[in-house]
Amino acid sequence: MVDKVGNPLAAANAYSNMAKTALGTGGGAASPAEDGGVSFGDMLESATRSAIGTIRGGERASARAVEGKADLVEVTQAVTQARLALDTVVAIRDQMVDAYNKVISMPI
Amino acid sequence: MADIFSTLTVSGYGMRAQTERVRVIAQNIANADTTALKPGENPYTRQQITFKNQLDRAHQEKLVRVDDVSDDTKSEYPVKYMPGHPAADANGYVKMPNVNGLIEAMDMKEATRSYEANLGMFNQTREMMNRTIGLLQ
Repeated sequence: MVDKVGNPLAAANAYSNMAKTALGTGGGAASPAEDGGVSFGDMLESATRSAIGTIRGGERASARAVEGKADLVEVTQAVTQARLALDTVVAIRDQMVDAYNKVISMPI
Repeated sequence: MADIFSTLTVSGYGMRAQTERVRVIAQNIANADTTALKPGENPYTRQQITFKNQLDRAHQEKLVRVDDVSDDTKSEYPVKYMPGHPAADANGYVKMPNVNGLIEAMDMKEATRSYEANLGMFNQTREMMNRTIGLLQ
């Protein structure tokens, strides 16, 4: 359903960005669709999962810093990564919601 | 995204390596007057740090790691005339640590600059990523 989004520009934008994110993470969670490619939903799922993992990493590092177990560089790195991942997910979600809204408001 | 995180990791290891270097320099400066306790023994020997390149096979990152912190045995111990010192030899001379304040200060400067360079790299990478995300919004 998701890959039949009406607004071609927003959908293509979101799709290509998701593809980049999903390929970049290297996670093999996405399953191939019938046409040999990866379905949009799977891609979204794997990208979101990896983003959640990154954000958890940031939280873990912060917690360890509070306990005095992590060094400053480690915390900075983990928190920066988490923030970037979160920002990416939020940006993509906004794009997707935008695309959905456009489909919904389309006159039938 | 993995590439950009990879850059952050590499810069992070650069910063860690420089932190370790600063620690060694601090150790040298702190022990600049640490003599031996008995005649014939050697005073504090200057420590020097060496770095090595380590490949992270999982991400194909060439990271900088601390190879070794070793004694600087090549430079001579200066001697100081202190006849009353417990470690003074028959002629009243005491071997002082081979730590040269000027060298350590320069090393410190270098370490600081290198740390800054890595920090700048880190920040620049983050900035790049932020701008790209900004384009998405």
